Amino acid sequence: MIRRAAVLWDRVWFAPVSARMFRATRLILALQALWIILSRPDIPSLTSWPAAFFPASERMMYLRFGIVQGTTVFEWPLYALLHLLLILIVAGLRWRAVLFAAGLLLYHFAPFEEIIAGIPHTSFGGLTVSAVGLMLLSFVRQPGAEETSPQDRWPVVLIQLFFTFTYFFAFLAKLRWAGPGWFTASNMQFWALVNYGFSQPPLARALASSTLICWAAAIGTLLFEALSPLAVFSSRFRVLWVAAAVLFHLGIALTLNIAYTSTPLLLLFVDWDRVSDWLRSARSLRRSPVEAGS
Amino acid sequence: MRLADIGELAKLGSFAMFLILGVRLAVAPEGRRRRAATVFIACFLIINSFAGISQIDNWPFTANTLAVGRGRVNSRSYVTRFYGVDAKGREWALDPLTWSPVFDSILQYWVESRYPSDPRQQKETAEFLLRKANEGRARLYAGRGIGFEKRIGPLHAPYWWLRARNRQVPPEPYVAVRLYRDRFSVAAMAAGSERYDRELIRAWGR
Repeated sequence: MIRRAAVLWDRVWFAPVSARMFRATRLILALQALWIILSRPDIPSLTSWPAAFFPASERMMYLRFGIVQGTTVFEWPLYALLHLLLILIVAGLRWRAVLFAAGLLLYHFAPFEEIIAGIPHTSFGGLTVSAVGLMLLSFVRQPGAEETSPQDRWPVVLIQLFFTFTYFFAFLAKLRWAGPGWFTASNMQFWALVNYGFSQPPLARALASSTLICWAAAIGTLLFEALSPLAVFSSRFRVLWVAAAVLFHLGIALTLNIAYTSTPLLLLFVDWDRVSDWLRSARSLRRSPVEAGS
Repeated sequence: MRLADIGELAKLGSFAMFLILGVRLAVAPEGRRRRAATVFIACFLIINSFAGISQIDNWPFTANTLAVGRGRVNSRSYVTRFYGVDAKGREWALDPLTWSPVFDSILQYWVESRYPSDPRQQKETAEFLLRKANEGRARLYAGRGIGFEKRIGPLHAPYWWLRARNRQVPPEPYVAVRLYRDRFSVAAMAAGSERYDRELIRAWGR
């Protein structure tokens, strides 16, 4: 039994994988983080806000992320450095120190958006997976262009799994705070209508008006969230799950006005080896008539 | 030391453990690398699972708690909104990006739950909020972007809560900022009656 578990563990984490998946993971994480950072130009200015926003009672939480009021003069150069590091990673620089520093700076800056209220929703700010993922990649050897190594698989798989926790833990949260009754049509109807009261999402009332669609949304959410880790381990299920994820985010944007800026990270689940092979064969097909004619 | 501080230290400790195990893995000799990776993966999964199962958020190892309540359609709820007031007393709904880098729902939450009791800090806060509201007003009046859209315009990543933008601003500065709580019946929203009962929570300025 233990022997079988060990074999399974090895197959999941240490099966050989091409360097392309590793490089694609690094690029996707850096690009997505850069998009968020470019969209949050005022982040360092928070440290210039009045002292009332930095109560002594919360000092430990601020210190946990290295946030100190009045340090704005240091924060701007650090924020500029973060941009530079992410651009270097996108450009293909593979230095582990650069990956680590970018991840650590993301850890520092990500909570700025919400820290004055505690950090209730920083996980939804879009930098969670990138911050952890870039640090995680910095801990391992960066593979060369054409390598295939068992050592390169586990960081890719662990980052994918970490991303699916977003949904799986959201499922656990619903069970913990509301119980199985969360996944019912009447609760879907409530969330659609209360959000209509908050910010008038375009399809909130349409969802609330149909018990059938509310049930479909409730059961769909249950299955999508509860089964999310399977997407890491089953390539067949992954295709279905990614398609469901796109629908899920489109649905909650239209009915609840909730956006998820980590959605581009679904690209982490694309089989880039297969895409590369497909592109190569498409290119050679296009080239062959010309070659035949010449 | 307060319990909350101990909690923060424990969270910092879990992050430090992630870093230490990562560095240990990075410097492990070739022959021991797989074992170091196995220990790292196992600890990473344990730290994350603790957050998910206990629902104690430990960002970046997070519990992902959002929209977890169970409500009834016949209940009441509320939404809070900021308004700027011009010299003629007219109220203008403030754009949700006015307080960037903080989104307006976060500032509302701060006002409702963490507003300082010290009069000197209250005065400082009032001046700051009025100044910030007017900085946003001036940029919008000049046709420039504010907040998230400053650098990459419409391509910017939104905040997770998509609230309607309010780009209409007066030409003259605001003299006050007000925060209202609008209460509504959830069931009434289904019936098409979008009636809100408004209550002034706080006002800053004149």
